Amino acid sequence: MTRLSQFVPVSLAFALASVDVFAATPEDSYFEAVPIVLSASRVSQPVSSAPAPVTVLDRALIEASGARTVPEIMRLVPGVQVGHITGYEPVVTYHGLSDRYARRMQVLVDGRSIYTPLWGGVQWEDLPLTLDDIERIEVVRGPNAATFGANAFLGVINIITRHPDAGHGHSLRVEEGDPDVHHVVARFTGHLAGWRGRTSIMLDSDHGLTDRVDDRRRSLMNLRASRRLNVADELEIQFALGEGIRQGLFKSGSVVYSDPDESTRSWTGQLRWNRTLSSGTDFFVQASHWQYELDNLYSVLVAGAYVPAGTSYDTSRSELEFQYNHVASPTLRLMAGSQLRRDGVYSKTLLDSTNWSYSNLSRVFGNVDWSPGWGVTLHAAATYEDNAISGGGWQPRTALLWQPVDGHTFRLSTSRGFRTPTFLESRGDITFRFIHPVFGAQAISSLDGNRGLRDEEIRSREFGYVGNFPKYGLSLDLRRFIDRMGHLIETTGSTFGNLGHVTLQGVEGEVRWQPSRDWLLRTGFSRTRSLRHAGDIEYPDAVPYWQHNVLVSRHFDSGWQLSGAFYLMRPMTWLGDGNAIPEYKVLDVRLSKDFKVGATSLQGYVAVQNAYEHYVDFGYEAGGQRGMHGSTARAGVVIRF
Amino acid sequence: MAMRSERYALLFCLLAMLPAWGGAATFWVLPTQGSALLQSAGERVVSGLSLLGHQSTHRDIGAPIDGVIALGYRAAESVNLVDAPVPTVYAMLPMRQAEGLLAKAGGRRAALVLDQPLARQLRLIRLALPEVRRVGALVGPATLERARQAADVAADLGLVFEIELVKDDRELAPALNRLLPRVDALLALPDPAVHHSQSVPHILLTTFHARVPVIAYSEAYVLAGALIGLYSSEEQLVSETLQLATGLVQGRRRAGLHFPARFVVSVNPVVERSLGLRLPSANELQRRLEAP
Repeated sequence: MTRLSQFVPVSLAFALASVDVFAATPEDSYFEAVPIVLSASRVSQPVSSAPAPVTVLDRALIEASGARTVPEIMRLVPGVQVGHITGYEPVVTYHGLSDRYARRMQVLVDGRSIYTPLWGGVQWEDLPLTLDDIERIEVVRGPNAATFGANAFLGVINIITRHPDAGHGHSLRVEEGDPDVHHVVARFTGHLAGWRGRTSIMLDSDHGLTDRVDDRRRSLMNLRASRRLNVADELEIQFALGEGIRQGLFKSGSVVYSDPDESTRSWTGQLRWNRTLSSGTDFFVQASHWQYELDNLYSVLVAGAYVPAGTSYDTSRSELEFQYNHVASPTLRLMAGSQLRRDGVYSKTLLDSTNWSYSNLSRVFGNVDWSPGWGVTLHAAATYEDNAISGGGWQPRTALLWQPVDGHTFRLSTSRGFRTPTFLESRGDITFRFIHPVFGAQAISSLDGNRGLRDEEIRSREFGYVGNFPKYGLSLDLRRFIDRMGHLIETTGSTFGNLGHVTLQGVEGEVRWQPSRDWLLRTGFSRTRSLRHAGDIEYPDAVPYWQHNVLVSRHFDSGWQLSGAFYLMRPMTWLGDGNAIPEYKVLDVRLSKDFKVGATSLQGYVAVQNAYEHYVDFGYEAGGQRGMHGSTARAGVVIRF
Repeated sequence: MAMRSERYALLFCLLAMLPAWGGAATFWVLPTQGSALLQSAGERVVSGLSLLGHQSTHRDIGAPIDGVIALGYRAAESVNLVDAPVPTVYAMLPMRQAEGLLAKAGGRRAALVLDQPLARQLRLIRLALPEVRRVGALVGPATLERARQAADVAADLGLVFEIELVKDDRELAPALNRLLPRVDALLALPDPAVHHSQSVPHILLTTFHARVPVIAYSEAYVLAGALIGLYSSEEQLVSETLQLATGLVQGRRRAGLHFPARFVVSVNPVVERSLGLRLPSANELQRRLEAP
């Protein structure tokens, strides 16, 4: 008669489990123990009770947007800016303040950090997953180092892939487009020796931006499998192997590149043990390793002769993480964990060394959510992190949530975060060494790291409101924020220094309206301005003062779906190699039809990107061009069997 | 916590019956060994009988017996083979198997099944999730008929009922994928060919991903991730078995199939919260479901 207690002791589960799970008596299925699948930590928290502003991008939204890559999907998040240096080198940042090497975001795939230790950004081109593998993407808009650790400075992007138990069958997706877009993904699911898994194979290529020589080609194979050992324990493995090749960027001027192709190779492995003690208590231990290699080699004209040069590098990351979740009572939830990480970088040119360089990091973290009553929840979280580059420090976060009435939550939160300098910023030593046919051995030094750098710091305060009006199918998420950042690391030309400070203040939000099952309308917007900044650095312009996006999608009974996404970005200036870019508008449209042929289901679709106008979104100058997006049209078919 | 109040309730019910029955009867209770569940239930039946002033035996078959209580399908099946001259109760077995056993002619036999009446399950959906208009079920060939009956009952309640047939494990995933777009909630009808410890994780993850809540038939299923459970607890089943057995011997209860009159409603708060739903409390749902 009572509401299901979250204290159901493990003894009950095991008492029931002593009944042989495969026993043949018909009444067993009424009593047999079943593995707890949707436990508190596995299941996504509703946005209205999250202690931080979160945007969730689910599969339906990803499909309706017509996006081909994860950075394109990220444009739907209010306050996010996406720029492209080349078709294969996108930059994704939140609240601007970024140059080509966006290094102020924490980006995770299934809990693994994927930003590169070398310069702190993400090689989006080499993600170990296909869009079809994504279950959802959760974006925390704002610093959350307390939970996600170092680098969760401006925001956190967590890409969650589909569990092998969810969704079966095989699928084949073939897409062709203009100009020169080819995309094939084959996905298989199956089971072997008690393991249930899925594997994807992808081949992908395109022509990049219209005014760049940036053709690219990529292949990827990945695998995710899980095995239930018993009612409480589950093992999971993931593996991915990818490689790509792309045309290097041609840049005229004093340095000439001739026939520069870049190639990348990477592999990732992850092993995880989940143990569920009850529906409110579980823990996991996760070990992962990632190895990445980028090779480029080109010729540079120096003092009348061509000499070989390149910025090749190898990086590695090994991580071990433990996390424990416990719902102690209906009013108290706890989480605690620890993490060890070892990052390694090898680069003859960028670190001027023929040895690997390593940095170790260890951290402990925890959070508490306490709901004493009257619709109030207090959230406190903190991380203590110690790393080889900048020592140790605490990063706390607190939030107060108040839900006066069902479906409406007010949130007040404050947090403090640090960003540790990257390998390049602290230990970089970019030096071109070569033998000149006339002048002999030479070393041209361009950029040095600075071992004296301290961490960047951010203090953020925000007030938010999340409201649900189920009768109208409407949900709102609004917030007002003020972020004070200091000791920001920027280049001085020859090295780096903690030179910048800026305060950003603004309002942003999302509105989602589903008047019926067939319609979806969603809009996101962000208004930001800068209050004060360090003299030389153009921080105020580094965030657009306004941006918004609108997505509309309609399902028709006959299996047709029509959707369109519109994005508007006011002018902004990318730092470093980027430039001031004018306002631009983007329009993407997608039309699809689902149908069945026997037991097989098919979807045919056509999608047009940038139907409205050609535009520049980063402005990196090379070969007299600034990186223009042209229209692309593509058609594809997905067969599921 | 729940167990203690249940035990007092059981005792009270049994004592309340005492004046109606004059003499002590002897029951043969089976099984004597088997699963931990049936053993525990058997022990409770035995102690319940003695509280009522009756006797039970399972060893001295030569002594005169007034009635038989067989718990679980195995025991019921073995008793059904013989022509028992005394009233017999088969308890704690699935409806489908009970119907098969009761079909045999002759003797006074009653069965207390584990299944909940269809009307109760569908009324629970109406009470807990009033916006749900379309309910679906995955069934094997053995439960297809019951699903059709459910569709009739659903129509009376203003619900659309969709059925997908699953003939073997490989058909489960495609059947679920076909069913999910057509339904707002999934009713898990007990069928070991469809819902078993290997398939339940897939069913829960896939329905959760499609935001379709599951209404299930056991506490374990709710713990695992079903939104709502409707089932009878071991204590309730034992208490009703005793009432049925003593009543049958006394001539106060009829032979044939009996559904449990008492039941438990439970809600999984983690799943409820994550689906963004706000259900009446389990106590409230139970109260409203118990009312006629």
